[in-house]
Amino acid sequence: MKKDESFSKVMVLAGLISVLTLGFTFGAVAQEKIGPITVSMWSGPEYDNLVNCARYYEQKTGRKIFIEEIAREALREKTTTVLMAKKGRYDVSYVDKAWIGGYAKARLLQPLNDFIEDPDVAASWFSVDNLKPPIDDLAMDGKMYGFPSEGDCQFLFWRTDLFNHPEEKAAFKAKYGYELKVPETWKVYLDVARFFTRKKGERLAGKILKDDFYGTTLAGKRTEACWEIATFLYGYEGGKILDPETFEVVVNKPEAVAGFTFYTDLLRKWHVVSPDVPTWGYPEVSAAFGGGHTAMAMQWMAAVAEFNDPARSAGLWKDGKRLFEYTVAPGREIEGKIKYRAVQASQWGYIIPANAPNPLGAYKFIEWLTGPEGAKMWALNGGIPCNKLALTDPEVLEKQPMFKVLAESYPYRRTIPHYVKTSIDYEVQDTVGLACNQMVIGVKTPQEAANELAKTIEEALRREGYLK
Amino acid sequence: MKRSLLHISYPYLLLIPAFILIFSVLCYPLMASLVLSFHKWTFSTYGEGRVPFIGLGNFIEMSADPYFWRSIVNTLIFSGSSLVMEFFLGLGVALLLNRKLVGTGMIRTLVILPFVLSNAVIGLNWRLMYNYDYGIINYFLSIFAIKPILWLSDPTKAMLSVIIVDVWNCTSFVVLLLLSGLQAIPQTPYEAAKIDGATGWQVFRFITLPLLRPVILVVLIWRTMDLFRCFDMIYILTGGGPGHATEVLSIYSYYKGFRYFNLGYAAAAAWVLVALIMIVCLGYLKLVRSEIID
Amino acid sequence: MKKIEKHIHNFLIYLAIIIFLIMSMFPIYWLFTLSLKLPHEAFSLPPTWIFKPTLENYASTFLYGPFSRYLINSIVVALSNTGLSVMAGSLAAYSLARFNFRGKKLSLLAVLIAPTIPPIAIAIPLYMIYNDYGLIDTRFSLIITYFIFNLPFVVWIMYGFFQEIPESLEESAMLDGCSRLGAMWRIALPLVAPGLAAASIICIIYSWNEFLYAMIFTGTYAKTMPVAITGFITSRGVYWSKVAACGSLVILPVFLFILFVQKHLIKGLSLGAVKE
Repeated sequence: MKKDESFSKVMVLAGLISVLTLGFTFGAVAQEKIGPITVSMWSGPEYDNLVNCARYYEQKTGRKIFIEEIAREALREKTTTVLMAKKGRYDVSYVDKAWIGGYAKARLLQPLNDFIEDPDVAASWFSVDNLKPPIDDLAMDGKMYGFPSEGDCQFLFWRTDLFNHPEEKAAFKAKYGYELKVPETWKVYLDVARFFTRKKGERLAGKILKDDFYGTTLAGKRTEACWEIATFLYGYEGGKILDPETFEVVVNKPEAVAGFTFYTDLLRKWHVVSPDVPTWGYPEVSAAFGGGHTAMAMQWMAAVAEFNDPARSAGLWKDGKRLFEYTVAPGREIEGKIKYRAVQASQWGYIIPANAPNPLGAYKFIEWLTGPEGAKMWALNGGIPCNKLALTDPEVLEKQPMFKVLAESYPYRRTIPHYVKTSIDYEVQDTVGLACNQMVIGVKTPQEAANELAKTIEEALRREGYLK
Repeated sequence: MKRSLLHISYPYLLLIPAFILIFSVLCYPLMASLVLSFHKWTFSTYGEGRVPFIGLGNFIEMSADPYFWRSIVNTLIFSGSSLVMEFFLGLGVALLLNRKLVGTGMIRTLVILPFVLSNAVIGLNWRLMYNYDYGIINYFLSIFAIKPILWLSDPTKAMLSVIIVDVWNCTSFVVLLLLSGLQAIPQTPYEAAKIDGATGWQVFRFITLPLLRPVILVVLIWRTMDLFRCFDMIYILTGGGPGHATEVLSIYSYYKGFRYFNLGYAAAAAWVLVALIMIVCLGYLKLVRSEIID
Repeated sequence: MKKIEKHIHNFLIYLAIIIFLIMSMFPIYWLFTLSLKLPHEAFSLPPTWIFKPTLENYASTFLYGPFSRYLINSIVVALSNTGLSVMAGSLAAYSLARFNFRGKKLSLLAVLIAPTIPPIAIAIPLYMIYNDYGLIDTRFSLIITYFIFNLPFVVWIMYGFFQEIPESLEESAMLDGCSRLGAMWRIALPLVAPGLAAASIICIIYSWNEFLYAMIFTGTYAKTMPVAITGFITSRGVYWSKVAACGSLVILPVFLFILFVQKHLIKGLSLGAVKE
């Protein structure tokens, strides 16, 4: 039967192809890596930056560096899995400070103290002081586990054309009784945000709006809210998550809830942010401010590069003129002076796994990378290093003027969590984000969400043995 | 008829390649995961070097967590709604396509296309389309003067949004299987029915449907399994949010296991999912009456 | 009158099909147009229907990283696993459909258990095993892992198809002197060609798109396309245009495969071979 014959031929062909391709599988058994030092890094600008720095290091020292790129969504999962294996694959891993607690407790990390204190190993120019205070974020129980690498923090961005517009200034003064100014306190922040929130069809800076316009932005997504709330949690009424002395959970005490409430009310009471913010993260905030849809934004300083590009941020440039500026985040004014202030920050660093195949080579690399020379190169490539010498280098300051505002923000840098280090840091971070998301979408009030959050954290602490 | 050893062992011999390929890889991890669900594996216990056996401790802790039960409800709602929609829509389209059409090859290929897209790409694509301010779906709604909808921010809408995406994605799968099933049905019963003057509905009910039963069963079982296990697409689309609105059991287990590294607990949750799937599938088999297994 | 009825009937059918096609194609079409736009145009409203297309996204994607290697990895893993799954699975399904033997029910259930396991449950133990055997970051690890999900599917679908065709055909062939396997190869398989086509399409798609295991077990050398695409979700936002470009391009090989295979979904492999 003709049909049968051709069918058989197809089947035989298919069988051959599959067997042949099976042969090809062995062509990709992981070859000997190019070099003895393997670094895992997540995809994005940091990866490109690291590749550049690594190439320079290779040329300078002759030591080979191999960088494995991991998707951002998968970094923690992949890193933890590799760290737990008997045979290590990474010599250096890029981690967030909140992961250090858990990893250290599980003995997956190699302490750096021995390397630092060994005169034969540590470089002559190396000084721990240059990396303070961030290096403390990566330490636990007296042992240093990582060198800090990216120390981003959030700025308050604002539209110069709107704040300087005579019509708007007059209207503001008429409504609120004081001059329109860049907010330094939360009260002014709220007033300004309410003032600039307008519906489609209303006037703004002399033009009729084609879309709704909002006073400011908010990142409410579950995985992003924990990267915005520090500003409000710590910086509104001095709330905390855990009591540093007793490990008691205080995230549902009035001071903390006041911060949560202010944050939630931005959407739910005052409507000064887009109703879609429960799904917003870094990119959405950038798109909103960069597209010219909000008067202010609380955004990571890394966005400055994007905002400075007229092609990517059409709403912030007009006829070649820059329409935005940035400053330190506001604080809470009580009796005339700012009593509480917190700037949301993030702290990433390089750690050496306990199962690293080449720990010594790994140490020398990250020592250089976060040292004055490496950090300077990192900064010139667009990164935000944590080395004091690099941050105050004139060449760097000329290329990255935003480091001046960074320096001003430094005393107020806070992360979630901040004051206490435990092995459940990451879980705290995640559940705080979840609680904020719930508040923002309105399924729970700030107090309810905080109560539930407190319960969850307490259970986790008990599970890990911090509380009885 | 002499029953030689070869004759008796024939069926088993045919089974061997498949079983080796599946279970040589699966056995140890399966056992390890089951054993793990009875232990307390966290960063602390691992660090201290002793991972204690806690019997049903994980399961008990899970049953006390309201979000665990919420995730089961979410899983059932998501799977049930998607399955019903996908099945009937898919059946309809398969029946439509079960004829000689102009450009039939291209049509069939295009119909399958939504299923071909990677889950990650689908999640990202729809996230962009569902965007409240810039998304194309709200734009279309605005053309018809409908107010924009908070597809992914509103907890009451999010589950619907996720179901829509899955139906869009997987109806093609149902169409593909049912169509092949329809195409493999021999012509003779249809010819006989035509001679007997049966109506379209009678033909469908008494000839098509019974003959299609084995394939329908496979489709139901397979879609159910896939829906209960669905992870990638939901994770990238909503991450389980807003709040816990779209957090299905697989995402619940993922967060506990891969984010907090409470591995024993996560394994326990995963096994609950397995039990759930097995119950449902066995239910199907009973329902379709074991004419299949006999 | 009947002719007009028939034409209306046909028209409605085509209309329904076209509507369905439009709804299912639109998101893909939109993704494709996204890949031809510059990044900042992605968010423009109202959407620019008529625009100047640019190939920059494709160029920058495929010049940016070793994407040709990732594409080859995906192809090798998909083809290998599909071929072997379909072969082994069909054998097993034939056995289950044609014979009654002890342990048949158990075998069916055992095969059913494998794909119910949520991937995350066994991901870490699997990683540890592969690591011990040096299989991390190899295509081999992915190929053997995907058997867990593809094989049972093939077994079950082919089981259903083998049951649809009567045993009489093979019996008459065997009476003519054919062996059991010969009967299967010559008679049964051609009749279940639609099932084989469907099974192979599903296996290819699954292997092609699988993400979790590919992400955990591969690093740089054996990385497959889905993992590479998620690399565009960075800490500084999603490179939507690159995702669109990669996502669109990645459909193409599978699209071609399906176009080639769907021929075997044709009707008409009738039972005319046997005179009843």
